[in-house]
Amino acid sequence: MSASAPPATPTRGLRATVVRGSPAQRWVTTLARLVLGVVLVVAGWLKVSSPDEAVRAVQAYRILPGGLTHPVGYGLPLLEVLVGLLLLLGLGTRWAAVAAGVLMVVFIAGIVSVWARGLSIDCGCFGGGGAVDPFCCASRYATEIVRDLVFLGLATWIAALPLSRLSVDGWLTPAGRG
Amino acid sequence: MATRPKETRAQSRERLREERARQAAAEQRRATIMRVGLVGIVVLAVAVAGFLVVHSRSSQAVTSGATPTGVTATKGYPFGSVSKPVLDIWEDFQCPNCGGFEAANKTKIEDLVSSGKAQVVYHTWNFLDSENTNNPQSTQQSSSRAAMAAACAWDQGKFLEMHDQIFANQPAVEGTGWTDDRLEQLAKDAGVPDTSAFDTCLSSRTYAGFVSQVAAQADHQQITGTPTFLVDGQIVDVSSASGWPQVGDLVVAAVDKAAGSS
Repeated sequence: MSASAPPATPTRGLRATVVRGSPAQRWVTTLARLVLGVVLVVAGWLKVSSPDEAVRAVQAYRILPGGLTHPVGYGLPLLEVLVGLLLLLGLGTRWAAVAAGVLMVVFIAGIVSVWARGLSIDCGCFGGGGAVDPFCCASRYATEIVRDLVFLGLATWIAALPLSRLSVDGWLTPAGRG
Repeated sequence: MATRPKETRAQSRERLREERARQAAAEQRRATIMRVGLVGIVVLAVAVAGFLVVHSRSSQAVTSGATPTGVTATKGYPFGSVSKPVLDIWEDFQCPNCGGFEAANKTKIEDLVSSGKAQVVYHTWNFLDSENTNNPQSTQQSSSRAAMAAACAWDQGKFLEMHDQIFANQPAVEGTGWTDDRLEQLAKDAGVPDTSAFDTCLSSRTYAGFVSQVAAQADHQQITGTPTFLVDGQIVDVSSASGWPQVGDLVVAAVDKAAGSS
């Protein structure tokens, strides 16, 4: 810290552009949070409420050993609900967004793996899941991957610029307010 | 500190800034603690609610009870005079794809049995019961009740006939299901000789436990949908097919291959 008198505002001005972001950015992040949050909560809830189906959906990927399909079938949807709720609340926003991004990477990897192995399954992304008739849906995997990439993009945006309107994080810290 | 000399303006401004920074840091810490605490509360709430929902909605079916003679949940309903190769067919009576497969390939499968080329084993799974959850009570759990009806027909030597009748009379809209009365009518059409014994067998849910055992076996074997075909325990890959007749051809080819190599 220099003893010479600094100009009155530039430091704060810098903070405002780098940390606070523009009002527009905050609204964009808010929108991204809400969209991703709703998607995760709905997708998770549909699976939580049909646990047997969720387990079959996991089994259909033929990736995990038998002993893990039940814990993952029950647990992964709960994780989605949790991350989705945190995003909706804007609580721990950056880390919730990172978690959402990791989930999307896992989902994309799963679908790519299934596609590469020529399995015909319902991804079980929004409930349902399991094997499907073998000739209905070759192009569906591509659509699902693109969709998850869009969600991954939203998650990345939020993680990079986590300050947003209507968030618990914002109410907790003066820097995040407004 | 107590004898601090008079501050210059710059020093006092500096001190004020440091004080502000300390306050901001303290506030930041408080906010972090609050945030961690709130996240903890949300995690706990989701975990508890999730456990309760999963616990109440996952299958806790009774798996004890009578088993049709000569049948086990593991081994299914066997047909044919040979012991190898074994073609396992996993179906749910409510599954439209199974209906599609049966309509296109019934004769091919019958030929495997009658020619002594393979042992064909049917497994009647009930995983599509959830399709009728919101139906009137009389048609709820149609997969399970149809599977029980097939077991009751087995007792009178008419499993395959009943199996074919049910698939041929699937409702136009998946999930509509069947009433018990409808299943009794189908049993009559299938030529079940003692219809009153059949009706008693079905209405008393004689094979409810057995049907649940089959579902547990499906879970154990990680069968994830219907129809699923296994030849000597290996799932037949039918993903290259472009229609149900080709699926049947691929299944028969897999049987031929296994028969040739054994």
